[in-house]
Amino acid sequence: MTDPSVLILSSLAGGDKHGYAMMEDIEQFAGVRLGPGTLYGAITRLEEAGWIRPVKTKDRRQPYTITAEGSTHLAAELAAVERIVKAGRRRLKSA
Amino acid sequence: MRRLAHWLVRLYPRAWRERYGEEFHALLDDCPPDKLKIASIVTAALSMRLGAMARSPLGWGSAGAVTGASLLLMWAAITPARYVSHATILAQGSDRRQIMREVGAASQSALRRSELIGIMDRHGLFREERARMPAEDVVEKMRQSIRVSFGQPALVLVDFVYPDPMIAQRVTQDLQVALMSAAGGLTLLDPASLPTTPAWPNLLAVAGTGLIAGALLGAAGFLLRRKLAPAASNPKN
Repeated sequence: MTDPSVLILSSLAGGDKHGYAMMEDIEQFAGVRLGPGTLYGAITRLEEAGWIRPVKTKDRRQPYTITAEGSTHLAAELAAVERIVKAGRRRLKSA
Repeated sequence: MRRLAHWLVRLYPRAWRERYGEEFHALLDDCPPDKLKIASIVTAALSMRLGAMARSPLGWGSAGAVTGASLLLMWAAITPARYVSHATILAQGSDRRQIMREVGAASQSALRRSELIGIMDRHGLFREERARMPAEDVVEKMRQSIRVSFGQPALVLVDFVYPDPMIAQRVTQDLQVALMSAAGGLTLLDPASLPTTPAWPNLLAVAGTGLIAGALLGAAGFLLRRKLAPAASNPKN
């Protein structure tokens, strides 16, 4: 579960954050340290898709927020992961 | 460090820099780039540039041009070089039509099957082809390598194309002698030349053709892709 898009959406689901805060948060809850290139590549794609949007600020650090469409997408992604996790656990038990 | 960050940001496409450049600089101020971060930035910037190219007809055209030129140059590199030897003969006489008729008949005589097989035997031409092809086909192949043409004011030009420049020269000499024996009133102006540079491959022409053909195919590919899969450019996909 290291898809940068899902990690960023999960991070923003907990509140608005700028790039560096996202990196720190993701490292804390997922144990994955995203590089700046990977992080902003994913931010670019997520904004183009309309799943996140920038929040008005006067700071150079630009915070982002998750959109309703982004929340729906994240929920679908997490449900898919959950199904995989459940199936994997079930099969491990019967192995 | 700010200078390094500046150059790293410049790796990204202009449109991206204008939108995200300032905040990306701020991020690099918060976490100064080490080797791993630099690798992440370079990879992302290149991928973004390639992605931008993949979404524009110019990108497809450029990629097609480079691919076309490379493929044709590779093909040129693996096909044998061909040299052309030229000889020029002056036809004397005032009636050009009459001269052309006589030289035409003489060249038919010089290019007849037995004459060409004699030349092939003398110079060991088309050895591989003669081992695996019917004689008629090899004779036809040799005829296709010969050109007898007319120039102004009353010049007869004899060319022969072959992978070996010295053999090309000797065969052109034989053809010129055969032609002059078969028709009267011909004077040798320029004896068969020894070619020093191959007529094929002409690397400039090959690269130019590859660039143009590749660019056109690339642009056509872009239009086709846009028509068949318009959703491909949607980031949600």
